[in-house]
Amino acid sequence: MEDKKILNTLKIQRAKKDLTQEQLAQLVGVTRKTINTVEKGKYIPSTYLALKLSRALGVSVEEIFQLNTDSYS
Amino acid sequence: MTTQIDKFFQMRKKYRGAHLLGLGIFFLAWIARSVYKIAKLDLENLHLVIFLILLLSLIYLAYYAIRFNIVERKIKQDVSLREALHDELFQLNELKAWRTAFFSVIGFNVLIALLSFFIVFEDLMLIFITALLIGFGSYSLTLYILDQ
Repeated sequence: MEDKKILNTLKIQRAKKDLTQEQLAQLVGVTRKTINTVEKGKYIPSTYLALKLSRALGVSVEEIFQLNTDSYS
Repeated sequence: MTTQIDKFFQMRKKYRGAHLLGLGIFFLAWIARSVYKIAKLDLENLHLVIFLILLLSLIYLAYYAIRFNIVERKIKQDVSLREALHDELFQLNELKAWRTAFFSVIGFNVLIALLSFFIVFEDLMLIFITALLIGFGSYSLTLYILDQ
């Protein structure tokens, strides 16, 4: 099975909104640990959580998560 | 400012860690007891020391199991806490913990099966309880590590 490579700009988008990990976690109803794990790229969130994150940050899902095109070339 | 979610997350982690420590001490004493029972050693003083360690670690385990359950009950009673503290990452970690526990018990059973060619295990209850301890211990340990 191909290794999933997804890049994310969650940390940047969160900083733009001047939110802490804890505040963002509370907004989307997860733990700070989950936000931290997603930011580090260790965990790829479900579509549901990705949509909640995009709504909380006021940006599209694609602005937060992108496919790493290198891994598909 | 620490949110309620973070406060309960830390509490759950702390009690799980304390529970794990008790389980580790109990497990080591249990293994020592099992070894001298299988080897049929007659050491009166060692028997007493191990019995005391087992008893004290059981009391410690029971204390932290109760505290852990109180925290879990509080989490389950509050909808937002329950959703956040049982979020998708936690559910994935739980799944990984179950998988680790399953393979640990399988591994232990394979080891016992191999050892049974050389040693006669008369007390099957001892093997059964050890397998349970390994399963439960590896489940808790995996969850604790993944929570770090």
